[in-house]
Amino acid sequence: MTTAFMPETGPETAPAEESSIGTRGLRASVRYWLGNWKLSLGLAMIIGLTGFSIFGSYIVDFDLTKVAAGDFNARPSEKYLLGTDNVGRDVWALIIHGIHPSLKVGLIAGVLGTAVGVVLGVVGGYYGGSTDAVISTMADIFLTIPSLLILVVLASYIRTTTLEFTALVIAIFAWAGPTRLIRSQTLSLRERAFVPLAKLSGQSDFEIAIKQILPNLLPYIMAGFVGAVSGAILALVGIQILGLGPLFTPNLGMILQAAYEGAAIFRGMWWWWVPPTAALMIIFISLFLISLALDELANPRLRERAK
Amino acid sequence: MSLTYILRRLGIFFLILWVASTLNFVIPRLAPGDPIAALIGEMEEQGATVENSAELINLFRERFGLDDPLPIQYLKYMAALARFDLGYSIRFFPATVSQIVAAALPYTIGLLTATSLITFVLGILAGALLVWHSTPQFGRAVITFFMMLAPIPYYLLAIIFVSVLAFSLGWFPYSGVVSVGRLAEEGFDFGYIVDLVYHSLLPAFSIIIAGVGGWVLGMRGMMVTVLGEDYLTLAEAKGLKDRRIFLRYAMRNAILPQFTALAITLGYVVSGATIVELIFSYPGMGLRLFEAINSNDFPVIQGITFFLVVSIAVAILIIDLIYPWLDPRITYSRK
Amino acid sequence: MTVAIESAPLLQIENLRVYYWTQAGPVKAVDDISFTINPKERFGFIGESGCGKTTTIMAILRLIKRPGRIEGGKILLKGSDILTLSDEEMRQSRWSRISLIPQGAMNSLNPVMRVQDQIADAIVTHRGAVPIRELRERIGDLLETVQLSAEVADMYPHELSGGMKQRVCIAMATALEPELIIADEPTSALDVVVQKAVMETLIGVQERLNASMILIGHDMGMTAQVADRVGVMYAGKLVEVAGTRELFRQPQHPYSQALISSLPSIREKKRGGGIPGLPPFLLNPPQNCLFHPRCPHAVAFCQETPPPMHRIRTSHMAACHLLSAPEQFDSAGESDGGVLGATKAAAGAEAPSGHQTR
Ligand SMILES: Nc1ncnc2c1ncn2[C@@H]1O[C@H](COP(=O)(O)OP(=O)(O)OP(=O)(O)O)[C@@H](O)[C@H]1O
Ligand code: SF4
Ligand SMILES: [Mg+2]
Repeated sequence: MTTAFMPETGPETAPAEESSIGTRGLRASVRYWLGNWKLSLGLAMIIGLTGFSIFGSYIVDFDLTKVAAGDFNARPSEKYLLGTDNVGRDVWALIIHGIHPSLKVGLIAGVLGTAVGVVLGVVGGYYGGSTDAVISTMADIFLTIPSLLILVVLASYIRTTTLEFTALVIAIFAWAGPTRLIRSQTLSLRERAFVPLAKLSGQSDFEIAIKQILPNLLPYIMAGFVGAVSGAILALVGIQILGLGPLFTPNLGMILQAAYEGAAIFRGMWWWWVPPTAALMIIFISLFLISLALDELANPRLRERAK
Repeated sequence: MSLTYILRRLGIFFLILWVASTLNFVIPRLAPGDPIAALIGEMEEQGATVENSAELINLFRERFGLDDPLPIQYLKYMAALARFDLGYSIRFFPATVSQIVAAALPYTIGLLTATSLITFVLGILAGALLVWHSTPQFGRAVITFFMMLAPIPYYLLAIIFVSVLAFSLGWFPYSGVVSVGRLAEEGFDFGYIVDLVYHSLLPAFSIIIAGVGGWVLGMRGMMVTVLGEDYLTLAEAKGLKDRRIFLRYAMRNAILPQFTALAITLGYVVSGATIVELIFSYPGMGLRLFEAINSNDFPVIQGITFFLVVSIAVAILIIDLIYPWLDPRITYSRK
Repeated sequence: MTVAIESAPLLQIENLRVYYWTQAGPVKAVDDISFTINPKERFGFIGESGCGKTTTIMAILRLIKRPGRIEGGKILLKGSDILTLSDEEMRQSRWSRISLIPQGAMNSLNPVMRVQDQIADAIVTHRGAVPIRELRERIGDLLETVQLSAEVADMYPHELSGGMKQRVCIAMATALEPELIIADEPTSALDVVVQKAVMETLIGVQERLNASMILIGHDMGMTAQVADRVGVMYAGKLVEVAGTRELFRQPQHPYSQALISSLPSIREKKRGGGIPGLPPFLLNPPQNCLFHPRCPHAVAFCQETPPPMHRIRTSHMAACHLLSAPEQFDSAGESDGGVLGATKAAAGAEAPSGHQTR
């Protein structure tokens, strides 16, 4: 008998009030973020690098990245800011034109992996039971299998592909990390007061997932995304060093691989291998800083303590 | 330890093998333009350079059973795998894939076991010390520095090490496993082992430094949680010595999730180590993989992948079987 | 009934202050409190949640964690100030002189150690190595004193029920026969039947050891039954200390009166109403008498001057201007006690107001 009027009063009052806890938490977090050096530094690094590459691409002539565009093995000079490689490509131009394609692969695989991860994670964590058992076991297994090796097998059959295709292939493994993360958070969110309340008030599972759970998952979704992007770039460069990456578009892995093959280190051609290494370091470190900040957001106990 | 627990873990063991080998089966068949047929065509072309090529091609036809329907091909493939029969190397025919793998596996397993253990122990200890109240400021700074290396991939670190430590400073050899002129056939005398270790130092170093930060991070997070637990307050109230609280109460509990994480990260470590081997020309699976890639030696590529997955699955099984011994709550739960 | 005072007090707390330095500013969790505990005495602490009870006893063990800090005062154990001990000396006196039955006893046992090892840890640390057989025997005896079988020694915490864990904690707290046992809500997580049994065990052990005990209880009825003297805390201040009977019969501080009248009366089987209003937010507490926003007798003077501790009898003190500066209330007349008077009457407490004691 009570259920008859529950839907009328319930949905408006109780859940709205409960989820405002999330909003209030979020507002406090926004304030926290603004003062978080890890987040600001990480964002500044990655945005700066992306901007540098994208705007630079309009300024620096793409033709300089082509074979025999300049002298061979030239040291850095006024003409060649970062010298040239062993086939006459301008390293400065290669770097500028090579950063954003590498980031793009990470972005594509990261978005795909996170999207799949959110869907599977929420479904598994929310419904539990055998659905969850299958999802979480598969995620664990995909995390366990050395993805790079499987990618190597794949790439060895399908040589000379495009960056976009490689990104899709990498995404095959990119979902497992986010799925695991989102699943465990959904699981704990499900236990919190507002979900049973929303259920009581007659919201459908789908509505609950969208309105109640998803907003609270936001920091974890972002963390999963950052992890997936970073993992994808890591895998891409790994495949490339093994000599299996896309070869035609300039990108960081390709430059590094060429430097490795061309024995840049042993020939003392630091200008050839240091720039791609440094650019990759900036990418990985900035993503790492961002994910540290997201961690702290989710787990306040990790925050730096007041003196 | 309950039987169900063991059975469950065994199930996961086989599941890992099954997923990996199925991927290995499916992937070549997904590739456009029937790569296996192309491969065989390629082998026919190369016939002149490979001894017994006709025999090899026949073996291949039979092995892949290209005329069979897919499910039959799949069953044949799985049956062969179960016998560790991965066929023949194209490049080194008539050497079997298993022979090639067997020659390289000990180096990789040795390197990986040693480095994984060292990385884990160092990382766990450092992560715990990072948030422990009596760690000196200097120690914290050092640990934080290594923690910050966490995001740097194995291969970048390896490249930097080769350049700085081996090339510029000349402290370490930068390739191979033993000095030129020394062969394993001379026997595993003491000198050989010293040489082997010396040559393994730099790759090992890269793997350890690249991996330790991740453990520091994970352990730090868990330690912070454990330090807030009531049993830690009580341990302190009991007037126990600092070191005992640290080891038996705090670390001992914070380690448990790390142990589970160890299983999850193995695949990642193996992937990374493969490339590190390549960069240092360390004669393990990574280097063989690279050579196989360069010579289109598909059976070897697949074989190496398969054996590495088997190794990981075995390691995970071992970890899973040790775990209940560390966490009594698992041992006695008979769900 | 007050316990006969044997010579000097066991524990003397003088002007203790403990602040938590949060980002928003200091939280004065314990602000200038003083009290004494006599040998063999059971001293109870009551007060609403968050008033600083746990902080007080953790200060006695010197276990205040960052961002908390003991800002001042003295904690004299048999006359010597433990705040001046070195860390190592303090470590040695923990458990051997002062032991703790913690608030969260459910989670206070290390989940990966057997009960025996956790008890042995305390013994071996303070008394040196003991032959294993002897150790087992002692632990068996200890478990027996808390009505547990010796087999419990070989179990892990997750194999024990809540009551059993609590008893293990009691056994552990008495292992070294300390002079002072601090029990922070030792029964709050247990169901009512078990609560009583555990409390009886605790009292039995304490009496056998001739130890003193500080008892924090959310269940005031239980505190009233077992404590010899009771201290009432409010917002980091000790507002009243008295012998148990006297306090419950004739509470002098308006907060104590409200607290006690909120107790369900046994005779009338009626639930008392809670105290109107909320305890103050300690980051930004009211000035001077912290209770004035909720106090039915409050006058302007209460906001302007901090009420001193006023001794009513040797063993009964309270900090309220009604007692120390009654002249300030003359103009307020008798109309002030409205709310309080009503609840009191309902609860059947025979608590006189400040005016009447005058
Ligand atoms: N780590 C801390 N940081 C900031 N404030 C704290 C901290 N620990 C306690 N406090 C504050 O100190 C005050 C006293 O806390 P305490 O735990 O001593 O209360 P309590 O009387 O034991 O309460 P309860 O009956 O709920 O156990 C509370 O207002 C609390 O908010
Ligand atoms: S001092 Fe004033 S406000 Fe405080 S308790 Fe006494 S009467 Fe109430
Ligand atoms: Mg408390």
